Amino acid sequence: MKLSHRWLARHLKEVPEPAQVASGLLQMGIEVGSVETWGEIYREIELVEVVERRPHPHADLLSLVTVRRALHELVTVVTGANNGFTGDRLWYAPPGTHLPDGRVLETVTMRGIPSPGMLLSAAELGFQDTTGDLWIYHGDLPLGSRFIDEVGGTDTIYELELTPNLAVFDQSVLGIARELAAVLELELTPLSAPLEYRQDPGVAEVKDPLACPVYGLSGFEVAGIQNSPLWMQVLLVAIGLRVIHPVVDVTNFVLWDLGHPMHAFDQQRVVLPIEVRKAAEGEVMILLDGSECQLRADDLVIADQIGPIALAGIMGGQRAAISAETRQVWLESAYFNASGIFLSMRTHRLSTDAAIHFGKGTDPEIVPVAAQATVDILSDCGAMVTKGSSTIIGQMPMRRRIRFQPDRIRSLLGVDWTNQDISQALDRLRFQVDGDWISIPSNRHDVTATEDLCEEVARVIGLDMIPVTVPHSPNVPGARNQEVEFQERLRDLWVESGYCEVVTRPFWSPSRDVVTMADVPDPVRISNPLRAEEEMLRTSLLPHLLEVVGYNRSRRDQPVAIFELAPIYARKQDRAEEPMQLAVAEILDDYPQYPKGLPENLAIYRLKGTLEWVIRRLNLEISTVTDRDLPAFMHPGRSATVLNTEKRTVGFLGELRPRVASRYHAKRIGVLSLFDIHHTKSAISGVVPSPSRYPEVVRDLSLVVPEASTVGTLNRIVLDAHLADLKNLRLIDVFSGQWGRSVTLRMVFQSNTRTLTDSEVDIQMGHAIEILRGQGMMMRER
Amino acid sequence: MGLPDSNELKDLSDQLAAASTSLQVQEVRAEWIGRRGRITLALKGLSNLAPEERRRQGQILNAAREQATRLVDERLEQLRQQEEDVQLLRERLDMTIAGVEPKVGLLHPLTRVRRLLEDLFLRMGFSLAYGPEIETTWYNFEALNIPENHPARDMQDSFFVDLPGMVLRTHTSPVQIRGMEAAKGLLPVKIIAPGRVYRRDDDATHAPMFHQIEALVVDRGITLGDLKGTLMAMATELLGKSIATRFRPSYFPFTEPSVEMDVTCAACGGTGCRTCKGTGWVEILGSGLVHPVVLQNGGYDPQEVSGFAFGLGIERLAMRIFGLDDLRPLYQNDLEYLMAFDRYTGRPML
Ligand SMILES: [Zn+2]
Repeated sequence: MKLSHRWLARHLKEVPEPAQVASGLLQMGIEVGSVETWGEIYREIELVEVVERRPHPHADLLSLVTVRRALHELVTVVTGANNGFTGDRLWYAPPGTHLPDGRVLETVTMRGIPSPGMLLSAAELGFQDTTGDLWIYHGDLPLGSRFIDEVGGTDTIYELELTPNLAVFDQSVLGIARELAAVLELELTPLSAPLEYRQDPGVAEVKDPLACPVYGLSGFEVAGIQNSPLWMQVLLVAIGLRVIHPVVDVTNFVLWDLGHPMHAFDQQRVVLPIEVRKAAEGEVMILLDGSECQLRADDLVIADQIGPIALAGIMGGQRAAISAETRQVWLESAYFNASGIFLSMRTHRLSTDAAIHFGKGTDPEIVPVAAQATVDILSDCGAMVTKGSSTIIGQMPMRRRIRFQPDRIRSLLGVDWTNQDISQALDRLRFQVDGDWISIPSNRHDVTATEDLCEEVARVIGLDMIPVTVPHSPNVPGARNQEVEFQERLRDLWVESGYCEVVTRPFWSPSRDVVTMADVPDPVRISNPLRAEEEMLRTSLLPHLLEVVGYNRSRRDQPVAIFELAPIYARKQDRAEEPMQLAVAEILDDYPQYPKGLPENLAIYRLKGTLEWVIRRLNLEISTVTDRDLPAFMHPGRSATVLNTEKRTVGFLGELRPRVASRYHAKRIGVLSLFDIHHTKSAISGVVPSPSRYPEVVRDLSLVVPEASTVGTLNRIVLDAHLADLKNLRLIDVFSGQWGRSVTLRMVFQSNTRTLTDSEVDIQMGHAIEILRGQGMMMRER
Repeated sequence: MGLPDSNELKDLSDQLAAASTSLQVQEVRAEWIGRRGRITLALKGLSNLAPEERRRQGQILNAAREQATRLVDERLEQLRQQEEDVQLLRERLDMTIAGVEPKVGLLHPLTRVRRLLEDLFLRMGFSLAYGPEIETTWYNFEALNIPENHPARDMQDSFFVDLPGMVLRTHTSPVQIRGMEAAKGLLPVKIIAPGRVYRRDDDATHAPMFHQIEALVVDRGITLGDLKGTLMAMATELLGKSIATRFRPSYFPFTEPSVEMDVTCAACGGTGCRTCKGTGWVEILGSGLVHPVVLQNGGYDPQEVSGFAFGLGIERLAMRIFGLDDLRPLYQNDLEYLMAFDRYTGRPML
């Protein structure tokens, strides 16, 4: 909301300095977004007097007007205006002047005659203009005066940010003035006396008193004015409103002055009585902005005997609208039920100033006051205002009362303020304490309970005055739950292993699928996505990671090793589930910048090794096997399935098919997807063995094995032989030659009770070799 | 030969100094203390002397031999060092070349800031609580005193999903209700709830998905002063002792009174700049006393207990800690950008 500093003077007997206004508002919870000076451009515009007017020698529609300036030579400018004769005083903008519409004046040559600057009409100065003629000045300012003097000097304009609760009662100059009066202890100017309605019959009827508790309608004949008074125009223009027609301007002015929207109808176009009623389903009306409004049964309308003439509290209709010819008006001042107006405003998407005010709740008690203020202002501007018929329907609502509980206020705020401190603070905001009760001002629809009063007291006295304490409750150590600790540890382990954590947004669309993964059968769709490619919530994490790989690869040729631990989203009937997933992706291509990397065809073992380490580190009850079906996008020869202890597939690990990887700008991409990860609560006790004091005996066993056999099988066979002192078994070499596939295992023997002799080891080795031979695996000849 | 005098040992020193290889030193050594060396021979000649004289001269000669041995060894060590230097300098590396750094990963900055906050609140005795991201409108709105058609629902444009009565939660505040329900009436309730939240916004300072941390304390006699104290302690812990705080009345449907906390603008240090619109302050969080309706919906009697709650944007704090002016890159996952967060922030734990 824009606030004019000057306007405050209508309600405050003394207006404080702008800096004080800002700090007072801040304490009340109103943020001042910006402060600007209005009117600077009017400093250049100068009062001059016409000394001669001649026709333009080369153009019939133009004239040459010579004007006298104070302290300057005579100036002759070209004008197309029909007025401005000798002796008239006019507003002159010399070259270099900025006009309100943004133009900067220069000396232009018009039909061969230079014209330095311009003589101005009211419209060109940003004010009301019915003729388009030059603005003839009739006041007392001396020649050479600036237009800024005519508009009363510059003004300070604040941009205020009102929270929704304050917007209920602070969206007006009066509202802000009351806040300032409360916090800075200033005196308010009393409001106008209320209009005295005559209760004439046959003027209006309220069919729905719940939707419209108070409805005032008063008839006036307005004659003798063309323009709104300049002081009012200045205030309206300063806050960025257009000035249009006196009756419209005055209602606009009262709207922003008192926070009370009003509406005027042309009496000539209304067939009495006026009815306040719900619209009939299917009823249609043309609104002031020319749009057609399909009314609904819960819209409240103002109608005459022909049909609706206004969408109540939101916008007038075209049929009974005020025009330049209007002489007799019905002025409506009413109090509507806020939620009804809010609903209609939403339904029809009509956020007019009136709707915004009524939709938040207005002050019923201001209904007759605002009506009288309108009459007063119209009279002030020299209009003949003749009172006609009038009526007001409905009872003024009683002020609500709640219990006054100063103890509770003190205990909620944590202060020792006295009852008097508290009731004085409330009184400054027009709450009246009466014994055990407190009555709430008629516009404070936001206040219903003691908690609300706490806020009011704290605002007026100041949050700074509340002492700083800490909760007295006994301190118990806070805790993360084990599942979360586990997830955090999982993140740490991948980071320690050289993988970078990423955070992706969970929005997805099948149109983004390069690999198709849906780890849940039924996705959750977003009804109002920001973009088509974000129409649903992801059903798998890995595709997001692969996009990150692609994004990075398209930017630079560098290694990528990333992971994310985040939920995916599944639909289960009418509910949603959010299971956590881990996804890892890594480029396996060899990089020139690697000092000495793993050979490309072994790089996947780094990812696999990391998983194995993580499994060990977190005692994850999962393992990898190679005999299960794999997703089609996976490399058939370089992938494995992850199983849980129940032998159910919970993930996969391996390389993408190179063809798929190339879609992400890489030759080879290693991936891991774990879609069922759980913290294993069963810790194994005593898992770390004591070191043996006896020496190790190391034997390397080179075998020629069948082409199809795997190191896994080989290991299994050796381990299943249960060699008594075998402590460690490790692959140290594997290659294929003319003789077949060759594997070298390093076997480490060690006893915890004695030093092993060579012959003891030989016996165990021999046993193993024999079993291996039975499986077609021979010792390699040297 | 007579007893060696100091002049003779001076000769030895000179000879050693003149020797430029260990071989030459060995030759000098043989001449003096070798098997046929001068001192060795003199010692052998002592056997002809009377016992008294033999002892006297023996002491002198032994001392001389010790000194000679020491001189020879010293010179030998000196030469060995020189020879080794020549050798090692052939292995010289250009030590101005940057070292090969270990291949490490890095936690996402949002994870790190989240943990910083969590650790801080854990130390203050808060426990972690969680709620679903796909939330019922009851928990996300109604239970938090935001009824249908409440203007506050305009404040946060929500993503709706194709599940009846569900939204992507627009804040972590629903965990206030869930946390109270989980506590089943026990006191105190003292939780923080970190998590992802969603709003239909996408620009430099608003992301459709972002992270919040919600805090809730419910107990007998909790006051607005307790909220101020807790928030000020938090601000000092997070942003340093030099930071000033300011409280302003504000509005949230689920707190009453509602309070926003501002802290000194990091960009200008409080003198006023573009970042803080000239005020010297930036808003850091919203808070307030828990609204009685919310306490009731969580199963607590507002006449018996009171509470405070606050919500903090993790992105916003990350932007401040790392000095960011755009949060979009945080979700673009350009690794070069993410790895640039490896610099020290002044906080060993971050
Ligand atoms: Zn600043």
